[in-house]
Amino acid sequence: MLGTLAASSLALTAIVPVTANAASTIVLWAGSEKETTYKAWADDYQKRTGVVVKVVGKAKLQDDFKTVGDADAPDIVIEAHDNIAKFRADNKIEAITLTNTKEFDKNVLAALTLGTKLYGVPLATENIALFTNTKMVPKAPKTWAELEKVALALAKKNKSNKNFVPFAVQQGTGGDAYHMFPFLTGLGGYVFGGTPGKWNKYDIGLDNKQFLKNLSLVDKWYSSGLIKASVTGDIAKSAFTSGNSPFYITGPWFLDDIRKSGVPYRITAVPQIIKGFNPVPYSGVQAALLTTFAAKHNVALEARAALQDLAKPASQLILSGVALKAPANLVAQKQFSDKDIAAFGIAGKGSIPMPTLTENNIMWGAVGSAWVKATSGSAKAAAAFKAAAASMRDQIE
Amino acid sequence: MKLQGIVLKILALSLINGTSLWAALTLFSLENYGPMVILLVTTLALDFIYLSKRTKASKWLIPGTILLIIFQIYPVLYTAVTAFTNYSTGHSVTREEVIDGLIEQNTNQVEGGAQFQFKAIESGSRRALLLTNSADGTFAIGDEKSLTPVDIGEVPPGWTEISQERLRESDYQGWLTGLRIPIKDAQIIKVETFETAAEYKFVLRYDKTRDVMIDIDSGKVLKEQDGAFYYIDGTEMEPGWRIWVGFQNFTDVVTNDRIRGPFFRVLVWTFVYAILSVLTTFILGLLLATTLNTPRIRGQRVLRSILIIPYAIPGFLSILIWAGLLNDDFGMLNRALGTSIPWLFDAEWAKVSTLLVNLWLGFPYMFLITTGALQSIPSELAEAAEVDGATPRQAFTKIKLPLLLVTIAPLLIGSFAYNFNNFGGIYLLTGGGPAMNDSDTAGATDILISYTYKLAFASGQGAQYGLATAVSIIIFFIVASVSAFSFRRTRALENLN
Repeated sequence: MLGTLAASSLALTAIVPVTANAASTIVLWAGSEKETTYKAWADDYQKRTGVVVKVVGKAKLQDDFKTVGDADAPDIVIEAHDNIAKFRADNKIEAITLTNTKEFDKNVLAALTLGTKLYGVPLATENIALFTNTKMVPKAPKTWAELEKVALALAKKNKSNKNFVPFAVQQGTGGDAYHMFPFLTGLGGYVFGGTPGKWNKYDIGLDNKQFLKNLSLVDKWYSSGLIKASVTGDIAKSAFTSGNSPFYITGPWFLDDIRKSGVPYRITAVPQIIKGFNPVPYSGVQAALLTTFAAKHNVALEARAALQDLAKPASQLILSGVALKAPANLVAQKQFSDKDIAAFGIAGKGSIPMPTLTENNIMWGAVGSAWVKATSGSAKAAAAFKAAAASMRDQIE
Repeated sequence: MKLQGIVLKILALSLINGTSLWAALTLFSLENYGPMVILLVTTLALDFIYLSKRTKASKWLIPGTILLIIFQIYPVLYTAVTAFTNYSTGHSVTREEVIDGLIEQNTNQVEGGAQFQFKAIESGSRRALLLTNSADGTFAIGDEKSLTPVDIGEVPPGWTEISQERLRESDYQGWLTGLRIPIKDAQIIKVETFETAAEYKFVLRYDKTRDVMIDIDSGKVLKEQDGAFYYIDGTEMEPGWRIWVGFQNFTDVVTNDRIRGPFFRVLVWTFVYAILSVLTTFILGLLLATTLNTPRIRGQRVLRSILIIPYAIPGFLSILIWAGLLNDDFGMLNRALGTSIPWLFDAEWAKVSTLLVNLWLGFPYMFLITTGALQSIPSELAEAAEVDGATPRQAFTKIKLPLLLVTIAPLLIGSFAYNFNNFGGIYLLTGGGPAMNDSDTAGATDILISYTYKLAFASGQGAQYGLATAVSIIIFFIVASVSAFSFRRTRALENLN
């Protein structure tokens, strides 16, 4: 009995393949909606260099990246730039050097810099902009006051239409500080002081005098029904694509859906609200990051070479061709020909990169809830933002 | 045993043995000796149990026990252990990794320093780089120990060049990445790509005897404290590492204002939510069950089927749809009622909403179990009560209800425990919100478990696993003691039967 057992066990062990010094593969993680985009580049890279890059689409990338073990960990990760501080604090990413930094905008590189080191390859920049239904609003309003008048007049005309949204910007109960950011800058506020790459988490501009004074406008917007927190992402999008809203703030990710809906549109920046302040959105830089796992897998040099390739204009054009986003590489940008994406770029002029602090979550939560309180009637805007500033200072030790 | 049985048994055991031998070899090569020993011991024990004739009982119990250990006991122990550490963003790796990481990340390219092209060469087990200085064309050979200038840029006799394909192999690539060729002081040559290298210098140095990090240029000393290195002036050098903090996470819950404030409010609301959920669903379920139990109602089966629809629809779907229905400007409910109640935006209304949605989701379950329990009460008892002159209400409260509770009480306790930790019911509907008017992570409708989730994954300082696991353990003790207490009380009911 035991003899047969021993024999069969040994026989089975012999069948198992021996994991020797196999040729290296690089593992790349991206959000599941980006999988096809990066596979396109990976296939091209393999054709040119023979190096295999395995692209894995992850539905919950950040959660998985936090808890993954060494063996299954990725060597390259595609993420938005505002996560690099978090990843660095967990010792999960490494600094890289690029030979073609001149081909990128200063601010974009600064968004990916901590201290003096660059932590990612900028791949695409994106920001939100204002979509206007040109059938309902044939002439573009030059100032916010004009826009307000047009929107409220349309609302009055469409009083019987319960699904009419005078100004569609998404919030919902959780709030959305990202989509409301142009209003924050347009009214003279800021969240963290400092400059990209050198954010000062102790300088919080949510309660500076200028901003608090201008916030009385937000109370007016709520009472006139112009901007309400009850408008969620789904409601905002369906209102605009079904012709029930003249104005919609969103990013290039819904451009395809808006085109398909047949609504005639134009893309501009949010018009000026208060003289002297430009309502600019946040810019997000999608970046490829080198993980510390690459060195553990003995593919660090391979991964660095792949990242350098991703920084080249040709590779960025491959990515933008599939994903409809403006490439970060300036040489590639000139060759990229989508009119609407160009309009997004113009609307995003002067945009502020999202801060790269580990305290970002505090910001999203506090600012998001302040906007919700102000646009749902639970508090006056000035009071809500004062509380948000106090809350942030309290949580940031 | 029949032949087929014996063959199957040998096949199964061979498979298990083969797999664990292979796994043990892998663990051995990774130098993970602890798990390897456990694996081998377990496999031998399995072999013994299934081959011996004496261990009949174990043959049935072992598979379940192994699964219990892997999926219940191990995670629980891991959670408990994590609660005594400061595992969080910025403190998630070990001290050695942090020290190595800090030194590595703070190695900067020397400004204006030399750049090199190289060919990798090897002789027997020795490996080195043949470097060509890009600026002045001089040659040198370098390895981990030294850098020696040479006159000729050719591969020396006795050495062979390593091809680019071989360099890409795991073994060689690992060597290249880790190679540090010393020049002088704190300067080294580091490989940048498969063909180039450059001069770098270390900024930080670890002094093992004094156990501190030293900034080489300025001479500043960084001492360790609470799982991170700090400069003398108090600035922290991130990242830090995981350390044992004893009961600090537990005491934080009580002493730290920022955590204590929301904790007790959330605890109270969790109890209220769980108790009210059980009560409302039970009352409605019981009402419907008794009404539909009378034989006079026609179409009983149809009505019963309709009533359990909320239970049949996946909870995730229905809760998300309810969130849309409860939107105060665009939701169906406000339009149908003609009101503009801020269902999800006002703190108090949000609480009412969570209870209402939970009532809708939960009453079919209560309806089903009370119907079953009612039908098991012998009808002679009801007739006897009528004969004795009891009013219908007395018959119900004094006879039917106690008998009902004997069967239902454990299920009610189970329902309480479930709703105490009903993450989906709260998080999918309100996200734990709306936000309160203070600086809390916890919103108005947060229950303990959703608050723990926010602490673990969404808090301001990044993830705080240590604190979250401590709160999980506290939740466990609360639920366990309430359940144990309730079960003891329900034993009194059993005397009725």
